[in-house]
Amino acid sequence: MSIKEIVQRCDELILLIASKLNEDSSLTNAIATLSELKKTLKDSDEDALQQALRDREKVRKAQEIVDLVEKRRANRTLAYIDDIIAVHPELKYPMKIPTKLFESERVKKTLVICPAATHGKERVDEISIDEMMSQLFPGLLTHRYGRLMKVPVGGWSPRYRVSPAGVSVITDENDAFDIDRDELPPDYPAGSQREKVYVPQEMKLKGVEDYARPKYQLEETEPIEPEEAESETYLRFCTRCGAIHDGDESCSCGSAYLTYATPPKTYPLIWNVVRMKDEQPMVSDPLFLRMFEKVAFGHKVEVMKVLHGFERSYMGQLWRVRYDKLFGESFQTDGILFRVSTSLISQSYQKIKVEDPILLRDLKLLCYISTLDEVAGPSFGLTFNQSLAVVKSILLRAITSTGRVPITAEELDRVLEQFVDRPDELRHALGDLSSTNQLNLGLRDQDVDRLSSGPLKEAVRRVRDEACFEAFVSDIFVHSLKHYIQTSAMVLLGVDEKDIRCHFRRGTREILVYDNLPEGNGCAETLRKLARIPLSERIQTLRKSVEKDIPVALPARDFYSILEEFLTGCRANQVDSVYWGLIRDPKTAELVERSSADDETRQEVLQELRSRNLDEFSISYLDALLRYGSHYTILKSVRDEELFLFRLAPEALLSRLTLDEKKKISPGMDPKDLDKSVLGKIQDSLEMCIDGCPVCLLASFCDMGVLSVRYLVSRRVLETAYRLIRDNVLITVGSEPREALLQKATELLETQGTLYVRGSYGDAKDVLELGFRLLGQPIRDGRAYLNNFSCDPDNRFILKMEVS
Amino acid sequence: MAGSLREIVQVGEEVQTYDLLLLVGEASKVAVGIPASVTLLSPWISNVSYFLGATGLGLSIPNVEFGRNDTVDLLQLIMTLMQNSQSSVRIATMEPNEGKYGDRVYQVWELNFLLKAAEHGARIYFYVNPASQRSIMHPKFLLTSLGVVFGSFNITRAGRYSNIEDGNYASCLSPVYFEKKQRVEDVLKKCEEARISDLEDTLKGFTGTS
Repeated sequence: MSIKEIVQRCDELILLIASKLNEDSSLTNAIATLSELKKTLKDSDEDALQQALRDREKVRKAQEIVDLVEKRRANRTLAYIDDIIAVHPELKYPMKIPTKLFESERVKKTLVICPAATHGKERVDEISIDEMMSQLFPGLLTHRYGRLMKVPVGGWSPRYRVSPAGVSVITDENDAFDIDRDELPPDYPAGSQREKVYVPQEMKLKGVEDYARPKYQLEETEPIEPEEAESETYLRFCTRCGAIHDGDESCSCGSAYLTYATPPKTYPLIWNVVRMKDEQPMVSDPLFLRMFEKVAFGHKVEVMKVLHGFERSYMGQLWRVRYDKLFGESFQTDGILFRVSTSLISQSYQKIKVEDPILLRDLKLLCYISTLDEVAGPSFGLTFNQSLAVVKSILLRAITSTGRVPITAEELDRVLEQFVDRPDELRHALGDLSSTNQLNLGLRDQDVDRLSSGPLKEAVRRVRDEACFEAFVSDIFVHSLKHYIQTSAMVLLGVDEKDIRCHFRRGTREILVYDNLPEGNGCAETLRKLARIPLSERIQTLRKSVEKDIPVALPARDFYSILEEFLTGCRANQVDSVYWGLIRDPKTAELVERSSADDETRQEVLQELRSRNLDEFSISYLDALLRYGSHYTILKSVRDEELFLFRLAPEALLSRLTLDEKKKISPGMDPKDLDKSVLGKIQDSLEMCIDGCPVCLLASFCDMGVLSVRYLVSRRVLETAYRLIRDNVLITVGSEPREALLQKATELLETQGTLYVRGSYGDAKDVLELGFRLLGQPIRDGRAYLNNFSCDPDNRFILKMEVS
Repeated sequence: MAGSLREIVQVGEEVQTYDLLLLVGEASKVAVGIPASVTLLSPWISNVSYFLGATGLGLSIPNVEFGRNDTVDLLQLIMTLMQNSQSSVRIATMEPNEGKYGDRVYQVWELNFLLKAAEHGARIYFYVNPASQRSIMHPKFLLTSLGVVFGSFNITRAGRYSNIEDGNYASCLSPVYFEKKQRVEDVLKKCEEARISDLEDTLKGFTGTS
């Protein structure tokens, strides 16, 4: 009972007693006592009292644990964590470890109500809002609680906003925050200047049993069943708009139902707004001073997370649904800001333009896809996959008609221009793509007519604008770097994305790493401390650790050295290049074929690989790749400049293969299924790290969306930028006499604080001698140290030196 | 400005970093097919551990396996260097005897290390105190083809990590390096090479095993 309620009760009693005064005058004393109690209670601080009660409870719990530990110590028995948990006052022992034990109490939770199975009780679960947003959001079909269930979303269409059913997610008007329309995703159809975002309090799941049928009960046409079907439960859904007919969603398209076994994959659309309100400058790294104009730590980082819809994909199609009611949470926490240098982005773009026409073409292709999505999405209702399919179909048509891929960005421009205002051409192209990959693109003839003269024309015009393209490259640069920074931070701290997040908004150059917990969880603080660790600090810690014989040491790599390692190149890509060399060699193909049946030959192949200076990890990776004999037939004729395009449009590679080659790739296949089977194998064989991928870039929780993120990253752009900043402080042994190189090296260390010495394996001795000549020399306010020995993919030896 | 580079630089508590860098430099040479050359000279010596990670040293050279672990000991480094059959590793120390260490265990450890190093191709030298003299071998050098660390630090855990000592480093491009190299050769001339069988016998003498 609250104090307010007690006071109210006192008033009621006083009135009651007053009415009885005539019968007993001694009751006056009782009224006086009650009045006094009421006054005392009114004067008391309820919050302080509540706090005191909570504190007392904490002290009691702590005391119990301390008593237990002391008792164990006195009895000389071991104390295990189970023993500690056993005294937890809220727990019956033995029982599972409470989630609170490893999770901060500041994590906001949502109640999940699961419907009862037959006559059982409703099941109640508590999940964090993050988990709700990413794994249990409206629209998702889930087996999480055993049976197939769903968080209801209500009738919907992909072109308009939809209301999650009011009963499914319960919110509180007082637990919500406002967000400006400008801060929401550009394609979110906000109804007013400010939208309210609700913190979900409780959500009710819904069973879909009545609408699901086991296979033997199906009365309609044979279901289309993906090969990897996960269940025997069948539901119907609309291939035009993507609505799943499970008694919750409904659509009026009416004609395009498909019965399926595996529910389409559904992913949430989560948008973050992150702002830093205070900035404390942070120590930077001499090399990365050129990459980041500013690095700052702050205690006041405002985070707003907004769940604004979901995207659903099936058989090459993708639908985006926006919620009418936004869900999310907001809090203040610690974070670190990285502002990327404008001049570096610009220099990198210029370098790519001059020196790397293939990368330029690939970026332009991504720009076409992204711009078409931007133009055609809101105004035309095209989904991202449809925009992608339009560009793919144009590419496929161009490659099949000319027999070659466009090599330069200008050639690509000409290819796209050919389809502007030419709906017939575009219709043919889309038809070719659809018949090759046997996917329904969901575009009608009238859509294609309007597309060619409308959104496609506008997209081509925009991409031809140099400033627009450069801005897109800038976005790709900062977005890719964001993923590198987040991964580096997680590697350093040994945490995952539950603990630390990273944010970048398109059009800006700012990357914000922040703690994913109100008031912070220490990740950003630790990252600040370990961003760069000076050698003197390491030596002190090391000596203390050895002297006291305790294994306490600083992390082997600081943040900047991990980030640099990522930027020097993808290891998988390096191994892929070896694989690429092998697969193009007919002798290897023969050897691989033999080795699949003969282990002795396989060992010979592995031995040959070991002689190429490859480590065991790379060899086992190659060993796995080389087991697929079909890869040789697929990849033998693919050239370097074709790789990215075929990865994007594998149908183009399929169209180039002869019937004999197809039969060799998929022997024994029915002719009508041959192309489908070969296309699958082509996709498998191209699963290489060509320009970064969502796996290594850790694309989950990215504002870009799970399915489109891969079209907005480029490993190669960052590697170009890294080489640009590194080459400013790089000297190559053999390019000048030793004395001149020493002079230059000393100057670089003096002025830049860092230095790279590089040379071929043949020059390794000279590289080392130069590095060791500078070792320990007093420079600026420190000494020159060697801190990295490595080799680059071109078999060159590299030493890194720093002033520490 | 290159002309103003110091011929020797002061080495303090970071001596183990210099050791590690010089030995990693030699290992890098071996990785690309160049033989290593290392001479360790210390009256007391042990299988010192080095901490790659704790010193912030990054190492990713093909065929150099120890870069993947945080700790690497002297013996592992010697084994890496001896992968090239042309490499030369020489270790010189004072002759083992009951009075060399306060505790016999330390002598056994030292002999174990020397025996294993010898089994991997290192050449072991002992300074034998002439009966007529009371002199002992007292200089400390870690000499490689890339540079030399010298001073009062023994090549032991205490010497390299705990004690307050003094030392210097000179690169192989410094004239001082050649003076020190000559000095090392002079000292080695006063030592006797120990064969593996000698080391085994001496070790047995200390452990009492047959």
